[in-house]
Amino acid sequence: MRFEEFTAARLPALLRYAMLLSGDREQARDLVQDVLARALVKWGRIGGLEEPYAYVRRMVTNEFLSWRRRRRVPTVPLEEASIPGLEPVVPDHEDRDDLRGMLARLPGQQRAVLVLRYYEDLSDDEIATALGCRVGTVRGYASRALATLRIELATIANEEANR
Amino acid sequence: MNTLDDLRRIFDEDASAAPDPVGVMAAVEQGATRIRRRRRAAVATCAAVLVAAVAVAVPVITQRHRADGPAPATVQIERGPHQVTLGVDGQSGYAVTSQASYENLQRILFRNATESKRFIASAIAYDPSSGFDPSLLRRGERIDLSGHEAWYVGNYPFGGYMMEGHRNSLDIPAVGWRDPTGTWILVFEMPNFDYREDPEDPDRARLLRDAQAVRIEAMHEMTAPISLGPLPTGIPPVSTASSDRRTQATVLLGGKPSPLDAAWAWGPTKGTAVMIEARPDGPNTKIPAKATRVAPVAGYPAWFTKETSGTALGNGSLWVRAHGCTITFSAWDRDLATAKQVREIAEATTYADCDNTATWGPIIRP
Repeated sequence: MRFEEFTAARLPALLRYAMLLSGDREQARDLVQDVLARALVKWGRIGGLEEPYAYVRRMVTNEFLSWRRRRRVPTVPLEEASIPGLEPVVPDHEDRDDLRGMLARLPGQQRAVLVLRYYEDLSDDEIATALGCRVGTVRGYASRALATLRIELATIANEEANR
Repeated sequence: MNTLDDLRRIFDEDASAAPDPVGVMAAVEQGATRIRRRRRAAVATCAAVLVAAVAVAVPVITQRHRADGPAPATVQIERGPHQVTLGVDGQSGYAVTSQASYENLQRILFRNATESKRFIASAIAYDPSSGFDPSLLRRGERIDLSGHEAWYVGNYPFGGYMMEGHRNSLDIPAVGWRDPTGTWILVFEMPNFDYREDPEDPDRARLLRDAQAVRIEAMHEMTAPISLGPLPTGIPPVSTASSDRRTQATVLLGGKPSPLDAAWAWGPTKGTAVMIEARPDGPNTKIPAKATRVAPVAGYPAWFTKETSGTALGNGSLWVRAHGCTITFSAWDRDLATAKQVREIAEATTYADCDNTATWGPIIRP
């Protein structure tokens, strides 16, 4: 598959995935741009894989997790309150106690597991491959994240039964 | 308590707020180019070390090359768009008044106080990687220029965009040669008046004097009254220019002008994400009436306009006043740069005195 074909088909999905991981439009765009630039350089190898999307999605995940570790870029907001495109998707003052606020404050690994499991619909085995960890670790992250988010145990049990 | 359906609903809502793919691919290609360039630079550095080792080990061969005249170098250390090698001999009486650097091209304007003010001498250096085609030049008259081979062409066709103030292409005299580094240099004189309405006999002797003053020097950083600090990811410097004239510094971030020569318009082109200009305070640097005073930038007074200076497609302009300079940071393309990123760039910039070149620093801080 050529790089242009891949991005034509998968760029919106990658941007959505990065958006859910980072919770921030600009970071999502930067994440995907950085990863695709590196992917383009070695596309000869990636394009020959059976699942290039899975590989690039793993690159995005790793990049997101390493960003959380090394990049906390302080930004100074402009006094102009509403600049189009800059409205925070996750306002952290009003929603501090609701689900979205709690989700935003989850550790990166736990957030990644939830996005992969409940948005990308991956199995725990596939998530373990994507994150480069063991299945037990994935389940541990998911369990702690769901507890933090106060997800009803009954809905989890139903979900688990169907997985 | 929450449910998994609540979680999925939030995921769906947030996913729908994902950024628009427009502009992403341009930034991806720029990023890939940057990565490849870094790799090439690493390879070139290794090769340069190897070449140096060979040159030391086999001095006889090196000496023989010298005896035969300078051989074009096969290894070119990568030059950043904020670095320059093109200049003039400091003992020649000429001085550089403007310089610009872009990917694999450089240009200078230079003057000799004793020469005609009706022309501005200009030199362009095409790095070996630029793919400069010398065939047109080589069809000209072969001459000896200070002991090295050069060509004189009486009517070299320069595009109008290379002639400030001249819309149309001009066929004017030019001298060109290949430097030992492999760099092709073209020298010509830009008429400081409407050439077609007031033709002046080209002065071949003066043009040759201009050309003799031009040098390829050791690579050094371009200096300007602003020094940009760390830049946001995906918005690399693409073109820089510095001058002792009205606009003392111009920096273009992001984008890849095409064709290559578009850089010589000294202005933004398709794909430019951010344009930064520094001018000495004066009648042309009034803060727009619509501008809103915003929090100081790096301690200097600042204003913001939602309208981007010079384009309808931007995300706004930030104006900073510092040390007798007015600096405009414009988010030139709303798909490629946000007002927030522009603010970050301005905050990371250091500001010097526009009227005192001794205070100027590297246009991009290493």
